[in-house]
Amino acid sequence: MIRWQSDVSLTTMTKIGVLIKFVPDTNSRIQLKGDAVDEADLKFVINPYDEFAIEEAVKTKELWAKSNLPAEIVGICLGPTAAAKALRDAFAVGVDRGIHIVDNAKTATDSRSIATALAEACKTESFNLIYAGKQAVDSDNHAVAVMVAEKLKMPHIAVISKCEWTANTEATVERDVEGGMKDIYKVKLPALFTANKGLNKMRLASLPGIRAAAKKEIKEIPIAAVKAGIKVSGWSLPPERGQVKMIEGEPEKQAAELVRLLHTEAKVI
Amino acid sequence: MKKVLIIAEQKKGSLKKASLELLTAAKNDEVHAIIFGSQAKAAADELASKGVKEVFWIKDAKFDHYHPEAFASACEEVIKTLKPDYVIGTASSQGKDLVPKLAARFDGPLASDCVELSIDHAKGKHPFFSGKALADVAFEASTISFATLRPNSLAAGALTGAGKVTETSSNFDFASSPIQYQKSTEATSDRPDLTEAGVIVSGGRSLKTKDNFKILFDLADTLGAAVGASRAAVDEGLAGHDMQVGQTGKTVNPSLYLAFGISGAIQHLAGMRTSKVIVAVNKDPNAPLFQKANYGIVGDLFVLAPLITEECKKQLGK
Repeated sequence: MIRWQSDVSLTTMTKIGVLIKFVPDTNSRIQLKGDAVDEADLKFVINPYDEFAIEEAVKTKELWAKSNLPAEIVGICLGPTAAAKALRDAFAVGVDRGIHIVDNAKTATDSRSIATALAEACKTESFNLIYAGKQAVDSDNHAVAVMVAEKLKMPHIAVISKCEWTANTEATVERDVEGGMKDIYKVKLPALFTANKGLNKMRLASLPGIRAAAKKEIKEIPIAAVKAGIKVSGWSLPPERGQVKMIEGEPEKQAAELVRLLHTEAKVI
Repeated sequence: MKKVLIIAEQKKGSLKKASLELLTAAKNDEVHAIIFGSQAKAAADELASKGVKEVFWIKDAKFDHYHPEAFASACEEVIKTLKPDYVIGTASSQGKDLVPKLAARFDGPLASDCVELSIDHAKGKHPFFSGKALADVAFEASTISFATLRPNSLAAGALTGAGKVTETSSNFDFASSPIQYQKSTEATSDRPDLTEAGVIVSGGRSLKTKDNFKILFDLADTLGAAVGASRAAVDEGLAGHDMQVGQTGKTVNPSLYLAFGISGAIQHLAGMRTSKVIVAVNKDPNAPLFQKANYGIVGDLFVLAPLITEECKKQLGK
């Protein structure tokens, strides 16, 4: 099965897509209200892994500019009206324009429906390259970007911590796997990469960047009828532990007692 | 009874324990398996001996290393013939990549990174916000559905009866793929991976230097444990990114989590709160982690960690 075109030449404007999600800050305390997560007091930010994706897109554009290869970076965000802020924040560090799939009714709830909607928006742009975070830190599915790639019939390498361009259409990427190991792949464009921590650190927005961000275009599109395959039937908070057992005494005695308790009481060693 | 295809994994020829957990998720079902790699014979035989009806062993050495397109293509061939109701894998590096790709290819529902999963009941439990909240998830009716299970979530299972191993190949054309596997770097240690470890020894910024982590490595090696670190320790360069536990690092699920000098920031708690037993060692009696721990010691980690290592050797004969 042919899933890509082998002789892509990037002679005209190259388009880089970045998938961006607006999520509660990782310092948030999560509470439930009725049958849902209480979002009232949560502070929303760009998903931390998407920051790496944004920065890598900007770095790639800068690199290509050196070979007189113009590129445009398009941020794609699915979320409620308020999520447009994620695109504005991304504009301030170099993303050129945005597509906001507006979903105030939470139509897209699982990875399939979200990936379907994102892929449809990507299809209208014909990206040569897409970056995304390896996972969103709210739903933690670790799946959507890979599914978007598959729906676009675009090859992907996920969880990368290094990306080196060997040609304008070919990169060598390092994928983080278990045990601190890295699998290294050579990938021809078009392709989608998901970013891990360690890939880079997002630059701070400059004042001119922030000013320019206000004028950049966000195209709003309504969410299409997408079908979720997984339904959340209930929420719970993790169970609290009982009272902590503090071990007192001299260090020697504390160490001996801890090991005894772990061995004979908790039976975990 | 459902027909289930499990995507099994092996490491250096041994079946991963996490793959046997998938048998527990599908304990009343007709289970088939697919496993990759030229070294996978013993692992494939073990699956067959544990009641997996047919194990498809992709023996070609080209499948010794993960390749998203190739692995998906090989699975697709098996799925098209077998027509399973469910395809389930481990929420490992491979599983978190391959299973979503297949779910998208077959347009089936996907329940990711479940900490509970029952194919019989068509439901599972998935942690959101790194476990700050848990969602009960249910599969909508579909001709094929997909799920991944977090390691250490269920007991290793075995089904009754014995099955067979079928050596099989794939038509995937590696040479013309836009993805070319180059090589893998060496593992940074022989210790178990954080995401699969039964015991984790973890350190915070109070370790002060990278070299000081040695006292935690010594304890970890005595217990056969993995070593983790807090974000603060990683950001200050005391430990590598691959060691970070927490909401922007690894989410871990061990039976025992020993935290040295970790105060317990909310994003760290998120990554380790499902640990069955938590031990906090900290010189600050007000460290928030004491509120989440089963056992606590207020004291100097530089004194206590070596003493605990000695006691483990003495009391456990290690």
